[in-house]
Amino acid sequence: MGKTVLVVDDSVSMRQMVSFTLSGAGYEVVEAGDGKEAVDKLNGGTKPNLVITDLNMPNMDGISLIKAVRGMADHKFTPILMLTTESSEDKKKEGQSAGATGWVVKPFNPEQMLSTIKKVLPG
Amino acid sequence: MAVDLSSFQESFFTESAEHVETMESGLLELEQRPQDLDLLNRIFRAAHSIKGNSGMFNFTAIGGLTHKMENVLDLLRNEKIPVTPHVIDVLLRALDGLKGLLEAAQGGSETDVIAIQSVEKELEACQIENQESRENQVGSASPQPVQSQRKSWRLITIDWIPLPELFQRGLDPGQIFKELHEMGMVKALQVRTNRIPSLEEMDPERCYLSWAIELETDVSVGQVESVFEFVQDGSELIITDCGSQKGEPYKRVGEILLEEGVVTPEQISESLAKQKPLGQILVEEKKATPAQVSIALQKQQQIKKGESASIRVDTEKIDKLINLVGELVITQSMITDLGEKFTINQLPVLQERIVQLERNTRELQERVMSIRMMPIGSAFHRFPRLVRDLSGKSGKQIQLVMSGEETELDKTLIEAIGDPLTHLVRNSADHGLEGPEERMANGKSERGTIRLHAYHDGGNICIAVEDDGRGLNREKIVRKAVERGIIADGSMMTDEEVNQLIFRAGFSTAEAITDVSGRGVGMDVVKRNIEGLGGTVTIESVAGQGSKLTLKLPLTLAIIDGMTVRVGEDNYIIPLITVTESIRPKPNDLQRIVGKGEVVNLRGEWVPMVRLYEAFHVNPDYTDPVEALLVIVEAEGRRVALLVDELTGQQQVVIKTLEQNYRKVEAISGATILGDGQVALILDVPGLAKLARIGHTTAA
Repeated sequence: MGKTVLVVDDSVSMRQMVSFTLSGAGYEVVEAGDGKEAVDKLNGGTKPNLVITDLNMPNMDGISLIKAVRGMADHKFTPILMLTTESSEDKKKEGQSAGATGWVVKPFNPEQMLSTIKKVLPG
Repeated sequence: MAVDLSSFQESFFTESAEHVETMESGLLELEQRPQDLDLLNRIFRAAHSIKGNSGMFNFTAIGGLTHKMENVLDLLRNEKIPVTPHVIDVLLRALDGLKGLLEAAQGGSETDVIAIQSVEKELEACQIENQESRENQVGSASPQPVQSQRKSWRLITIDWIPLPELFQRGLDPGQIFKELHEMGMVKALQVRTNRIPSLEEMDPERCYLSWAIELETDVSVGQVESVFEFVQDGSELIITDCGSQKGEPYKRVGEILLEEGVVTPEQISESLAKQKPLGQILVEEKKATPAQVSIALQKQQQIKKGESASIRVDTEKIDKLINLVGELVITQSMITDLGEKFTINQLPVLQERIVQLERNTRELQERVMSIRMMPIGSAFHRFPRLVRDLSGKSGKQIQLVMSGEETELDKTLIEAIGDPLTHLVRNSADHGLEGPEERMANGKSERGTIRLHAYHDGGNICIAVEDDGRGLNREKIVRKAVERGIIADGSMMTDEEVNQLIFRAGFSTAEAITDVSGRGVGMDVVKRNIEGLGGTVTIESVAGQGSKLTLKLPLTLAIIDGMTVRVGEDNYIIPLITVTESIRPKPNDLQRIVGKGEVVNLRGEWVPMVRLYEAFHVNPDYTDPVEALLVIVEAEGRRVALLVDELTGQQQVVIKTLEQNYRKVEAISGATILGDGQVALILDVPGLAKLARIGHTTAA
């Protein structure tokens, strides 16, 4: 059975690119357009094995999403990767203290993304 | 100005001695497991180290010999020549030569140049001989598992204390280990549980474990670091590159053939599938039983576990020690401070601090002691070789089984028991075990077994040397003892008493004095040595089935926990470990059994009673047990009730021997000085038990 990954990004092209890469590698992908939508999906019974989220998003940003996910009994141990830009060293710190498992630095190529996922996703 | 190297010479010799030991035990193991390339590499590395280091000190003879040994070992590990008993034999003899050279270099004996030259020739012969057979071998050489090839030769140690929020960030340490595993070979992974708090304080969602990992790999430290990328922040992470491993990367035959296009990968895996573990082959060919194989495998595991080249002290242990010393200093200064302006109403504070001081001291002592504890395996190392040699000389087939190598005891004791144990093993091989014909005639397997077994028994460590040989021969012992004038003809003796005769000075029953043992200087010396260490030697023997000698030693020599008791004006210490309880008996619990001395009823069991005031001739406060106290002690499976006036306390005592300062006193194992400056005698509980037993048996 494939692992499910919840991909959260407000940019459609980015979402598609990530989804394409993941589906190609055999993962089930669930998409969400912002943090709020992601929280709704999680509350609605989606049980991803991994969450990949952008940080800058409308309605609810990535950091708030990470905090929210860590507050959910079902998901508090789920690995979360955040998508950051090279320059945002501070964001990395912020994300980590919010509970992010790791990060993928933009711009990235599909291989980098997949190898990072392998790092945090058990099995 | 020339640098003076002589100060390093000593470490060269210590180091070389360790390498020689590695090679010796390694070669013997290799004979059993010729396929073990790890083992071969270990032996090779040892030889290589000696060769390299001897050059530094201009020991050219040592360098020359080890170079030749190294050549042969190199051929072995490259599978250019097979591991045969002959090769092992030659290598072992070369090793003996090497030992001789090392001794000579240390200013010891003369070197037997001719012997060295001849063994060097033999080493060279091994190489030539096998160059010839090499041509024939290429076609039939068995391919080895490709995947077990070690492509990398760098050892990286990783010390990782993860951030406690590890899990809360969705991180999984298992993932990290998996990644490390993919990078090379995780040689050791140690989990430390020292940060786990008490259950009340524990948050199950936090990570309290930490890890020490040894990774052998070909990737760089940077790549290893990248594995920890996501956990670095908040973790304590130390990654150390211990440098490249000595020796060249080698290739398996299968790989070479593959590279040369002789075979295809499919062919190799197919052939590999046919390859079975040695144990399985032996079982199938009915050369060994499954049980024997599994024992051998267990043994192999234990040996792997028990390896230790020197005392390695965990840095954590040292940190704790330093911590404790810090606390000790604080407590001490607190007491000094209190003493300077002491008023009587501060007494409770003083008492509290003294208790604290006591706790610190005790903990410090325990920790320091634990550093001195070493696995006994290091004392066992010499026996496989010894037994192999004895076996060769006597024509007996002997199998040595060792267990409990990981049992820990004080380093000085380990050093002290080496010789006595050697005597016992030699005795078993020489006197105990029969030759193959005699064994067959008695319906035993051709091959005799000697077992060495170490284990903890309460506050003691026991080491048993057991053989399945002919056992002690009562008639022969009695006859010899009479001949030697040790006992009078026609003495009535129990079997146990007869067995004890072998410990008497000048006693030997060997028909012929052999090269190995039988000069009659063995057993009495063994007994004396062990008793000198505060231990005992017991012997059990069944005629025709074998004998078992057990050495029982204290874990440490210097300090014991004692219970102080008073009899009249004298203080005595009873080793706490022997005390089971103390009671005040009711009048009808006491019985004087005619001819058997006094006994007390302890919940239905009659326990002999020893009146300490009678044994030591002092004036007690009480002579009636009903008014006094009985301390029940147990030693060697036997219980005795000791009549004392009063229990006065419990403390650790430093043992001072009486023998060195005065003389041996029956039922007293030593003396100590109490806190108030008084001298107290330490009771020898087994001795007292014997006293009680004599009361039993003499009149029985």
